[in-house]
Amino acid sequence: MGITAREEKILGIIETARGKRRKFRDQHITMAHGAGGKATQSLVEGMFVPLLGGSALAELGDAGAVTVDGLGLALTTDSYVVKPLRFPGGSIGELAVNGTVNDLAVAGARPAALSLSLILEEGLDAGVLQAEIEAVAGAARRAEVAIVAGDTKVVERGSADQMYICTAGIGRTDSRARLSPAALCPGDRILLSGSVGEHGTAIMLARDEFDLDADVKSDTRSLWPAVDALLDCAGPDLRCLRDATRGGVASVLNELARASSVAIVVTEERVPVAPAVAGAAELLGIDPMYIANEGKLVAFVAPAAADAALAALRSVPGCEDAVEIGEVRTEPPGMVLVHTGFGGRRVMDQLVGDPLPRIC
Amino acid sequence: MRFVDEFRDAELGRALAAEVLSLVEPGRHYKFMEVCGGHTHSIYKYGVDDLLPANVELVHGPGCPVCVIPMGRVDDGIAVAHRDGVIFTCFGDMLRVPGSDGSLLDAKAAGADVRMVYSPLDALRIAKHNPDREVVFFAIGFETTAPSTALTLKRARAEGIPNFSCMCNHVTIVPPLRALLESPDLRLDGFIGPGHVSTIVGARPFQFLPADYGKPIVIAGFEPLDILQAVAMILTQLAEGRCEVENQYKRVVPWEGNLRALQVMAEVFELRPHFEWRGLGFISHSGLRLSDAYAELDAERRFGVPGVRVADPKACQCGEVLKGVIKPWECKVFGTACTPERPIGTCMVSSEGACAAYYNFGRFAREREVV
Amino acid sequence: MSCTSTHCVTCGDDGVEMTVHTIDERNGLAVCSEAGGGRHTVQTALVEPVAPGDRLLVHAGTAIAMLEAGAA
Repeated sequence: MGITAREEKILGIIETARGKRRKFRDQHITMAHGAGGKATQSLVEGMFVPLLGGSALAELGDAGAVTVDGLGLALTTDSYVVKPLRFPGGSIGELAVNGTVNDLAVAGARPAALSLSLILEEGLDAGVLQAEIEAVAGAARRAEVAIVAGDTKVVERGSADQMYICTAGIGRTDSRARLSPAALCPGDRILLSGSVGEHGTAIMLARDEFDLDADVKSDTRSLWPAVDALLDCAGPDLRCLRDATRGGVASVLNELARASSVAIVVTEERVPVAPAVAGAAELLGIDPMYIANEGKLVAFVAPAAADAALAALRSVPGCEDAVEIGEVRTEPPGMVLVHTGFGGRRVMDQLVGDPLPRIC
Repeated sequence: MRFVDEFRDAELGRALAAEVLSLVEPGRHYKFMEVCGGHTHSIYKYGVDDLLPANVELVHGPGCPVCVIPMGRVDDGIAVAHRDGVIFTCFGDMLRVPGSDGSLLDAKAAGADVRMVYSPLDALRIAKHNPDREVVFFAIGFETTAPSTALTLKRARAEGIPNFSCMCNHVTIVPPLRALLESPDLRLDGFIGPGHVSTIVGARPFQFLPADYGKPIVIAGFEPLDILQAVAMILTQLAEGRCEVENQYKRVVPWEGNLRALQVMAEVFELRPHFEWRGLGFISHSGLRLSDAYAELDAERRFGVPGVRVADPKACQCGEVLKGVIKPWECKVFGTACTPERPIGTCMVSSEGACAAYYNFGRFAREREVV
Repeated sequence: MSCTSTHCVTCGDDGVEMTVHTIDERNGLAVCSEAGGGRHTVQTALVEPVAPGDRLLVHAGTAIAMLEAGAA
C-alpha cells in the first residue's frame, strides 16, 4: 500500500505547517493561550515576536541574553497566578523564586538577583501575604539569590484572585555554557533529571474540583545545582537545557525538535512517573509527559559526554532518579516519536488544549 | 507499576502479532472497524497498528460521542451556557467542538461560566455548592456513560437539588451501526466491538451484525493485547468461514449486560424518535432524552433551547470518514482548512477522532509492510 | 482533555480499575482507590452489594462492572 502522490502532497502540507512559524488568528484570548502549547506558541510567534522584534527574543528561550560592556548577562521575567496559593510541596512565593531562578539556570546563567512585584486583591488576609513573603525569603536563601527590588499594587476586590507575583531575574552567563535551542545534532542523548508530572498533578488535586485525593507533592526546587554539575562535567558538550514547566517534557521536546530541525525519539518506559501521578493522570485522562514540572530539566548532551553527564546529574540532591530517555535523530525533522513499552510507536505532538489552567 | 502491566507485555504482543500474521491470507486486504473511541485511543497510545501488517487496516468508527454531536446541539448548549446565573458543565473533549459560531471554550472566553467535569456527580456537587446558580450538565456518551447520568439524576431528585438539570445528548450504539451497514459504499470485513458499552448492554444486541449483515464482531477490552487478540479472533472467524458474535472481554462483559444499568436507564430516559448525528444525519431511535417522569430535571424543557438545526459544514466530509468510505486525507479540507488547532469537523476535534489521529500520526502509519 | 496528548476519559469510554475502601451504603457511594493510591468517590448502585477490597471497573464516577479477583 504505497503512498499516492496526492496523499504525499497532503502529508507534506502538514509537515510544512508543523515546522512553520505559527500565525495568530484567534478572536479572543482563551485559557489555551496560557497553557504553553500550540496556542501559546501562535501568540508568541504570531504576535509578540513580529511586533517586538529583536534577535534575542526570536530565540524564544526562557531567558534572553544581554551583553553590557562585554559582560554576558541573562535576563528573564515571569508571573505567577497559581490557584490555590498553597499546595502540597510548596506555595506561590516559593514557586516564584524557583521558577525565575530556573529560567536563568537553564539559559546557562548563574542566578544573581530577582525583583518582586506584587498584585494584591483588596481584602487579602495579611497573614496569607506574610506567609508568602516568608516563602519567597526562604526560597531565595536556598537558591542563593537576592531580592533587590520590588513593587506593590492593590486592585479592587474581584479584579484579581488573592495575589499574583511578577518577577524579573538576572544572572551572569556561565563561561562554560554554549547552549542554544538550535544546537541539537543527530546522536545527541536526552537526559531527564527525575520523575515527571508532580507539580501539575499536585495543583490539580489541591484545587479540589475533581473529587480525587492522592499523595502528590509539587517538585518545586532550584535547578541551578543540577545545571552547575552538568556544565562542570560536560561544558561545551551540553547542547541545550530546558526546564519542563507548562506543557511538560513533551512540549520541551517538540519545541527543540522544531528549533533544531531534528527528530527526537523517546523510549516511553524509561520516563520515571511516580505511581500516584500515573494513577491520577490515568483517571483524569492526562499523559504525564504533558504535565507541568517545577523542578525538572531536560538536557541535550553530545554522545561522548552523555554517560558522564548522567552520572554528574545523579549526584545532585533531588536528581537521583535522572535517566536517559532518548536521542536525537535526523528524520523526520521537527517531530517527536515515542517508542511505546508495548513495542509500537506514536507521534508525541504539542498540546492543543489546556489541561490545567493556572498552575504556575 | 500498574496492575494491567501484564496485558501490555511487549513479548506477548509480539507473539500475538505473529499469530495475526499467520492468519492473514496473502494479498488480501482486510478492513476492520473499531467501533469505540476508547479502542482508537489505545491503538494510538500503544502503537498497536505498528504490530499489524499493512493490509490489515483498522477503520475508526462512530463510537466517539464527541465526534457525532451535531452543530445545532452545540449551539443549543452555548445558548444555555450564556443564560444569566447558569454554570454549564460538560466533559473535557466537548469544550472544543465547534458550533456554528465558536465552541464552548469560546463561550467561556466570552464570559459564560463553563466548567469541565469528569462525571455527572461532579456536576451535581457543583450544584450543591452553588445553590443560587442554575447548574446544567451537558450529558454526552453512549450506554457506558448514560447510566452514570441516570443515577445522578435520580440522586438529584432524591436529595432535592432544585438547581440541577441535564441537557441530554446520550446516544445508543446499535442504530448508527445499522445506519453504517445500510450505506451501499461501505466495505468492512468485521468489527471490533465496544468493550465498555457492552458491559452495560451485553453482547447480545450485536447479533444483528452476523445475522443481518454477515459481519463478524469480537467484543474487545482496551489493553493493547486485547485489541490484537480481537483482530486475531476476527481473522480466525474469516479463515474458518464462521461469522458470529465473540466476546474477547469476558472478564468484564456479560452476555446479558448489566440489567440494573439498563433498568435505571429505562426509568430516567426514553428514546427520541430520531436524533441527528454529525456526518450521518438523522437516525431513528438513536438518541435518549429525559423521560416525562424526570421532566423537571430536563434542561431543554427548563430553558427552552432554540433547537435550530444547523447543517454540517459543506466542505467537511466527516460523514464519509466515519463510514470509512474515504480516508481522512482524502477530505477536501483535511490538513489545510481543517487542523487540530482550527477544526471544522468533529473528527478533527477529539483525540479519538479519525482525522486528528491521522493528522498526528501521518506517514508513520504507512511504513508497515504488506503481506 | 482534547488534544493528542490528553484525552477525555469519559468521551473515550475509558474504564479505570479501582479497589473499594469505605462504603456509604445509604447513599450508594464508596470511596475507591486506583493502583497509584488516588482516592475517588464512586456511585455503586449498578454493582451492589460491594465490600471493602472488591475491585470495580469505574467510568464517569460510576462503577459499571465488578471485576473477578485476579482478572482485569
